[in-house]
Amino acid sequence: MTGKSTKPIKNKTLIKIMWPPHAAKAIFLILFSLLLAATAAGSAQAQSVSIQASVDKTELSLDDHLSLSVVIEGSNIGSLPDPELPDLSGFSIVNSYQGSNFSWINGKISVSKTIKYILRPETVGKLTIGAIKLSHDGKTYKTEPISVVVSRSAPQGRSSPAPSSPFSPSQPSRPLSPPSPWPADPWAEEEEERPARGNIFITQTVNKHKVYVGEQVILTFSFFRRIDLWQSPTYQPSPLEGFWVVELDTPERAEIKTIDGLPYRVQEIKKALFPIRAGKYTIGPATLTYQTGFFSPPRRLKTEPISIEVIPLPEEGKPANFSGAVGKFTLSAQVDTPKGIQNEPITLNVKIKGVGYIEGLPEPELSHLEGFQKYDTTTTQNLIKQNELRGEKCFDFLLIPRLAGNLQIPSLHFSFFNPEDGRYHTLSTDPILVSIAPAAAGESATAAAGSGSSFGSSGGLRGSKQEVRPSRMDIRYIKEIEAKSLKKGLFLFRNKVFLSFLPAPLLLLIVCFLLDRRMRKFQSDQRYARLRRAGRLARKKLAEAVRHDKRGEEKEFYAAVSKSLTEYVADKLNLQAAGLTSQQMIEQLSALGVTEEVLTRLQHCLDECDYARFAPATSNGQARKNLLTEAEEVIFSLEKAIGEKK
Amino acid sequence: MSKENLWFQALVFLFLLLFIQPCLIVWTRPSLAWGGAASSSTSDQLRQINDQLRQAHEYYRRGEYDLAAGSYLDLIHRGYQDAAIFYNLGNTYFKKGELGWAILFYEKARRLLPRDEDIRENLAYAHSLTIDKIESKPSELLSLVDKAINFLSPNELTVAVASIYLILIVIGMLIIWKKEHPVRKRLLCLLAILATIFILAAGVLFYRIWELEVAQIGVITAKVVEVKSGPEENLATLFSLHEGTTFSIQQQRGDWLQIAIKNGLNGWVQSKDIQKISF
Repeated sequence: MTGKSTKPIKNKTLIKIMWPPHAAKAIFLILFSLLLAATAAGSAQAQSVSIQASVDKTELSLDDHLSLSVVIEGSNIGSLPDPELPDLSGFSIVNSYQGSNFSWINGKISVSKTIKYILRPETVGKLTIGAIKLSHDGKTYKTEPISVVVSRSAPQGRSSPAPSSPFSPSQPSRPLSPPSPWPADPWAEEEEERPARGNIFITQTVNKHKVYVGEQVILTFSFFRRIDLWQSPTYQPSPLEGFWVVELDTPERAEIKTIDGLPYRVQEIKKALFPIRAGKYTIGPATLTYQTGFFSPPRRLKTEPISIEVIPLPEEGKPANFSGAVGKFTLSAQVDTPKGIQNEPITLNVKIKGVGYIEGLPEPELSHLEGFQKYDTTTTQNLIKQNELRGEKCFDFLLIPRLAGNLQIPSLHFSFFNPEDGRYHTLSTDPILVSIAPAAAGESATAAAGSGSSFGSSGGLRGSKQEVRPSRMDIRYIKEIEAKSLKKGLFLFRNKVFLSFLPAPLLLLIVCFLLDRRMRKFQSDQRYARLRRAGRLARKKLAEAVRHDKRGEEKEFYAAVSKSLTEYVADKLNLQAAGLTSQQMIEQLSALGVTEEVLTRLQHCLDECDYARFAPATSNGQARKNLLTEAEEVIFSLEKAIGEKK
Repeated sequence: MSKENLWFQALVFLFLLLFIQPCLIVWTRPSLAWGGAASSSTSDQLRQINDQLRQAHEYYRRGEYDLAAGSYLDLIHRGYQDAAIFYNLGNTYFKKGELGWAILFYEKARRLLPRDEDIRENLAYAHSLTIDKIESKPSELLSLVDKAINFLSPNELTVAVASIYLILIVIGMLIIWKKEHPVRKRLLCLLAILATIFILAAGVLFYRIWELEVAQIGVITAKVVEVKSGPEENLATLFSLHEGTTFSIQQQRGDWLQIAIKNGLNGWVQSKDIQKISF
């Protein structure tokens, strides 16, 4: 809104009026202007084209100039043709100017085109300026003929100012609308050299000098003038630090006020100020620069500085939910429909209306909302800026009922400070009951799932998750399984039968590994193998000996027994059996710590075998049996003695 | 030499007969191996269970969710803890509007059948409707690892690990047996690869077993629960949780459980307001 208040004065709506500077032709002019007013008013209402002609004087001398103004007014000036001038016999055209002006009256744009002819009379006597015609849209517009009396000598009192009262610059009857874009004539400007206060002055006022923080103060800048200006004045507003500023609407049309008996055209710029902090403030001067005429120097006007005392809001009685609203407000709440459907959003419309800083109003807190899910709030505001800032701010809460039945929207509270009575006020709305019809079966679960949400709860740690996908209609359907595909056991790792299988392979692997190792040892370690095998092989040989004995092969019997003993000892000692004498055997075995008794018996066995083999004499069966037993005992003893050691 | 080798071979053969065969059976017809309804029930019982199942499905279809839930729960209590039944129960509770219970059963079903599309979809949907939004941002990598770990169901994983274990043992035996054979080098290579896989798989399996048996996960089944600072009703309320929110149980003291939610907050709740996701 900033542009709106400063612009009017600068260009658009400042209305320039041509004032006839010579007062002597007052009566004439009054009549004439009355006439003009009538036509102008008619034309303005019809919104069509109008044409007017006027002269600055009706009496002049031969050496004088006459200024003839033709004003064409209409909604679209571009389409307007130039007027046709009548036969101007008795005058010669010295010069002509053309200008156009936009004016904004009652919200309507009106454009006017002014053509000014400077005429010089050539003859003395009564001259008539004929009707000026304008053709537009098939119609012809005409001005009234104007009569002028030209005298030989200069008329009396030509340069004397007009008597004030009848020639008052603002005749109320004369409309402001047909303005003339430049001063009536260039020669009249010296006369404006009178005290500025008299014709043009500015003021700046506030409606209150002592206000609360946030209270609305109206700052009014007024521009008073009685004369026309050469061009739009330049307005420099006061710096306004420490205030929120809202520009108020400026009336498009200047008012007329009478000050000290003189009528003034007044234009006002109003601003609503809202002090931000407590303290003493001074509003600096506003300035206005203007120029009354083309040749006159620009002048600057200044307003008086204004001091404002801003007092803090009282602490006493400040409501807990007060959030800084100052002014006078009303609160209302309503839902768009009293009957909703589960899961279908309803709108809660909360409206705060009043006088004050509307834009800064906070969102009323909607707490303890049960059964609803709250979505984003949309805020709209509607401001009225005439004379003071007032208006309304609407908060639209989008609520989705998650439960069916009669749900209650709790009351809303809003607190403000009213500077008029200096007290805090808290407004509350009535709770609103909404009856919610249950949703279709498929959606009810979804709905209930989102229920129980409460907002602004004391926990505060958990933000409510609000994005629920409402588009998704349903969950997937159940699995219609049959009994035969049902499983009874849950987990294989709990199955004891299964678990009992598990260690067995590992044990088997370990057994295999150990067996293999043992086998490798047998194969790789010959000495060890002979040591382990010796007993077994000796017994095998003895068994062979028994078979020989049964067959009656005595020699073979003794050879086998001898061999079994010799090979056994050779195996045990890891020696070659062939060529091993009994002497060597006894020595080696005794070194291993075999007892004398065993060694003697071994010697005896071997001797007996040798004797029997080389001295062929018949031996009885009993002797053979005894030898076999002895050999077995010797092997057994040796096995025990050496086996333990190895 | 020849004799010892012979009985070594006999042992390997015996082993194959005894262990591989049952494992093959387990793999191909799991229900036979660990007591499927079909194997352990008489045809009479089977028919009765079938009737009950059909009845429950029918209740669900007609929207009589309480009756459907009762039927399914009865089957669970009789030992038929099947993923499909847990899933159906989840659906029934969802329709009843008890989101917490729905999530409980969906979670159970998911633990049994982690790759099932229906279960995953409905669980995700149920989770999306919960009120509590707990900030925990698992990284890309972590969620990928989680996916990998939970790719197989516990039973599949168990069978896989057992199979790898048996193959490893067979290879081990072959290596022992074929000492001088040229194939031995390849076997050793295979052994190394399989052993690595085995260690990984066994690790995952033990983690899963730990999750199922040791780590206690719970879900809020009450609409709103005030989480207290200690195991006492009149202690301060730290925060409140809403139905469907999952948490881990840290310890139990009488009727009170100390729980921790994903963002690290913890507090005490009463056991009546929650359910454990356990079997």
